[in-house]
Amino acid sequence: MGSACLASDRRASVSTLRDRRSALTTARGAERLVLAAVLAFAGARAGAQEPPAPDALFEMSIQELANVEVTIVAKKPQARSEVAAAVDVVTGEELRRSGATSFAEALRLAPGVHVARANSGRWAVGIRGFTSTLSRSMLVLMDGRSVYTPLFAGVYWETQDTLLADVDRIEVVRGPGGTLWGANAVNGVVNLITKSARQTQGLYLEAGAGTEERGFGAIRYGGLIGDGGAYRVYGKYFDRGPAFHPDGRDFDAWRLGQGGFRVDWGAGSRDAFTIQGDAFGGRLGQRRNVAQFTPPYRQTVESDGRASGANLLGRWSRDLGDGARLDGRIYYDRTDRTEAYLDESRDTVDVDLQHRFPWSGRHELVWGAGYRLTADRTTGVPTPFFDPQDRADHLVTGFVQDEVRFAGDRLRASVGVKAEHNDYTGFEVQPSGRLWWRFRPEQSVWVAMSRAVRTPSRADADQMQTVYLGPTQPLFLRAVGDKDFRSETALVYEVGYRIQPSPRLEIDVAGFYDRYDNLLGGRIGTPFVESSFGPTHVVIPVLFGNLLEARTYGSELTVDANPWRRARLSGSYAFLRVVVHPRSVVPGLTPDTSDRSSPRHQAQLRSRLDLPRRTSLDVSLRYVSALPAQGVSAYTSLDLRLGWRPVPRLELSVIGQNLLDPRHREFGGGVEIERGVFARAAWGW
Amino acid sequence: MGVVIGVRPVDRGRRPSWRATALLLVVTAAPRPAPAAEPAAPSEYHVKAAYLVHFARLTEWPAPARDDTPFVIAVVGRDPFGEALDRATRGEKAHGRPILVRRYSSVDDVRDEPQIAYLSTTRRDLARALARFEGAPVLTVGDESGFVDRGGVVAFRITPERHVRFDISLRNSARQGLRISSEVLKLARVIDGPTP
Repeated sequence: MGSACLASDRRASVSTLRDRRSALTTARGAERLVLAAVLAFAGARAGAQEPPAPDALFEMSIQELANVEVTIVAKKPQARSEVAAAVDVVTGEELRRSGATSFAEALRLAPGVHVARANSGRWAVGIRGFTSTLSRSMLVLMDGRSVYTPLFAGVYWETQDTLLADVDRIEVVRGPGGTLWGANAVNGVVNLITKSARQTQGLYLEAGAGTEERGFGAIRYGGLIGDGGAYRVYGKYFDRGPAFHPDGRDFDAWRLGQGGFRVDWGAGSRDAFTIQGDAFGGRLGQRRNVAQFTPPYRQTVESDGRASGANLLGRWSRDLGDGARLDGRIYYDRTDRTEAYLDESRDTVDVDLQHRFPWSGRHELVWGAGYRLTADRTTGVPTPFFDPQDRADHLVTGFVQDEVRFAGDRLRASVGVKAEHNDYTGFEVQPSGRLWWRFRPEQSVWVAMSRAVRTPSRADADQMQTVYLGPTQPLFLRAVGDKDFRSETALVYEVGYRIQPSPRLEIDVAGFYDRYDNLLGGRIGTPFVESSFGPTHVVIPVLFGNLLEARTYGSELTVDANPWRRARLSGSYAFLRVVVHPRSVVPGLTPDTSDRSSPRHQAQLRSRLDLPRRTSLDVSLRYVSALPAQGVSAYTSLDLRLGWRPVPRLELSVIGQNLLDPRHREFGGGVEIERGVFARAAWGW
Repeated sequence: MGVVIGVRPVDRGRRPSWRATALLLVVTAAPRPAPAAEPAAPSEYHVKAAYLVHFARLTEWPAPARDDTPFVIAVVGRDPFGEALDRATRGEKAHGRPILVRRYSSVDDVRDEPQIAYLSTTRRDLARALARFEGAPVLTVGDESGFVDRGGVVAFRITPERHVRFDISLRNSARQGLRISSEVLKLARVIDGPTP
């Protein structure tokens, strides 16, 4: 079996390479076509008038300028303090000064997000409950590209990467975002946004090494092209050491290389375009227990899982004048994962169009439509596999949202709805209503009510996973997906309050109450004797279904202070209760652990200080309460970063992580996260 | 859309979805179009970019320590100008110094003191951004209503005739140690008198 496996793998990887190359060329050509077509469509509608040369403006006197008639550009995105939702933005500067080295780790900077490191490469992330290594009910986007996998419902955090120095911001929405973002944005939306190529000009170099971060390096170069275009290319690599294993088996080293580019042009004129892409390849040490129907029935395999992928994204934005705007986006994404006994390759194509315009003075309407095709091919062995092995799913979506402003912008109401059709459950509707009111110049309150859904993943519907029950007889437990699995639904009530008592202090409070229905659960079916797949054995089925319901409630408090120019302090506290129970009396229900896998209390304190002699000190203290279902007791961890900038373009820093104890557990699996220290040099800021 | 993908037995050599992908893309595409029409009127930001160059020339700054340093216009926050500002400043000089555009995504990233700072930050960060340049010889420019009330020097506004004009606070400009030419002030709505 071993050698056959190897041979087929090699063939697969060769054909994968070839396919990837042809895919890239196809996608590039086709993208040009699509962009051109969309342009033609919009151009035809806008009508042709006499075109004045914009550069003539730059020759005019100031008096002449004062009498030029202009088109008004769509208004900028709303400030965080004016949104009727619990939103937080992690800025590039915060990211740089945190010492975070991965996307998942960076989310620790956002209040109320539970980020636990399960082992060297795997992360469990949760917002408002339901923390798991796949974060099944939050939607994660990178520059608008969804990285939520429809195979297991969630995000493979270990392979989501980019050059963190080029990240403009990470927007984190706690709570539902289904009306704008679509299915699976039940508990939260995370959107990582990179800087435009214009903002990343010149050479940037970064290198570092340490105890846990064994070595990393990155290079980026950005330049200008043609008349007003800009580009950048980057490459990076890291090697992260294994976490601590009580049994001394250090299987989980994590290595990844990634490269990419971004081109922007036309920014600020009527049509702006972006084309960007990334490709990565990595090895992720894993341990898998795999059952087999012949003695000894169970094998523990420690091997490097391999993951690779590439994506290409095009974005187009047209300023229609008078505050109206049209945005189009298309992307292609490919991922391949080869793990012990289960391989998956996936292709996704997504097209999205959005139109925003003001009407009748007070209103602003946004509507949009999208289509996504995602197709996967899996290969497994009789114990874990998917039935069917290959599957292609289509998703068609449309949404509309209207915002109306009263009382000179001090009161805003918005209602919206997203309707989508997926291949598992048909139509899904996700409405929401929000109200925001600034009742004092520096104080505002908001309320919201929304419905959001998590649509079935392949794991909910098609999974067949068998584990050995033993202890010596051929007795197995088999998780069986539910072909009729319906969407999990959530009805969410939110309320928030913000106050800025002085320009140097801001306080933000949010509270929520969520009712979930049709949550995934498993129940024990009738045991049977099976003689296919190998020698006769007994199987106890665990049948998946919409068996559970839950209530969650909690609140989050964030305080940001800027007491003097060189100091920033922020603190946050999040409280959460999750209560899960069966929807009805179900015999043989297996216990659900989601209510005890998220912390009831989380608190964080961070400070950013600019010190004399061009040095800076950043301190972060984090408390997470116990996770009984994961065997994790409460812990407090301290990260420190000391930076020095001997010349303006060079920064040297030393970062210490998890300094309070030699190691501690953050999530299930028995692995402990160790104290780590690393040094980093970055040139080019 | 009519794209049908058959579910096939495992055959790693064949990737049916490629063809579907290509087909989908082709279906969405149309015959090659004529070039898109130019806008009827220039964008407000083209005009604002041109104004910034005039402000650079028509304002007096305290003399710099060295004459060979560039004259820096910083765009802080989301950049609404794009190439317009690069084109407006290309090869241009102010006070004998070449004009250079620098872009920063946040006020925290601003290392050196610019001469003009266009603040395009969120409302929440605006107070911080203005505090960052307070008392320094920096001409702060923004386009939010209330920008001047909060301590900024120049705020763009759009008239009902769709002309770009601006409000100026003389008190704020004096506080920054700047003197704005009467040629600029003639076009401005001066919202306060000089410091008493």
